[in-house]
Amino acid sequence: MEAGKNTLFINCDEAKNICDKSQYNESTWWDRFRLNIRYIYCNITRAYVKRNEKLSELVTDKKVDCMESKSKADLKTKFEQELKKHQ
Amino acid sequence: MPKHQLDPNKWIDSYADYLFNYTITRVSDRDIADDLVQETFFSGLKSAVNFKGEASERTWLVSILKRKIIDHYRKINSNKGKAEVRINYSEGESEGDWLEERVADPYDRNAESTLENQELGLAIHNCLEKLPQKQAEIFKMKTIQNFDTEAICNEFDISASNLWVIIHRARTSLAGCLDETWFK
Repeated sequence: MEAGKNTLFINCDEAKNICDKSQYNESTWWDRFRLNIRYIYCNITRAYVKRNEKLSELVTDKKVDCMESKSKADLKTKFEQELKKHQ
Repeated sequence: MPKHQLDPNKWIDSYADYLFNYTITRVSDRDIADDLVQETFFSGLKSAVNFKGEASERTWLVSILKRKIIDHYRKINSNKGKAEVRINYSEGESEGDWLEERVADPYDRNAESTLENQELGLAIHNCLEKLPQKQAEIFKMKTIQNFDTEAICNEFDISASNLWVIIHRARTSLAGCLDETWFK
């Protein structure tokens, strides 16, 4: 259940949601402020933030990469044509 | 009955990103990596009849990819290609005789950390493969390819709230998987 946007105190689910958005710089300063308040007194929130930030660090530090969407779509088209020849 | 079977219809969706990630850390050029991955899939189709089912589909494709990468090094006449390598070119899926990765690269001062980065990248892709496909795709688009929220919502015809629920589930699953497979 989402806490009201004007309230200072948020629940765990709302905190996790804000934390997720923060990883993509899509949280507001007010959301981050409320998350920081909860961070002070909630162990679960602290653990989630720590784990989430670690995941972001791993993924965005170029330790993982993937094909561009267009390249994959082109590959899929060519492969499907080739696959038909083998069926 | 063989333990593993091939399903080429699912190859691109299931393995393209894994193979790409494997390749890009070794060739450092996206276009070349794309080409090598494509060649791998096409070669896989041609040699599918030789698949014995002893290795998994992905392991088998990676063994093909490894050969493509070493051929690439040799073609560009690189030092890696010149290194004396004994490779068992038996057709099919055996990886056990692959020695190339054991040859020290004298020009790589950070060989250990580079290798760890490569392995971590693959560990992350391993975990991504365990996610439901839509979750994995959305996570990759948002986190690795840096697509806007709006663009992803349009692509998948979902609301922003739905997107964040999916992202949350993906991140939670990934973090749990990495805790089990990497950090332990």
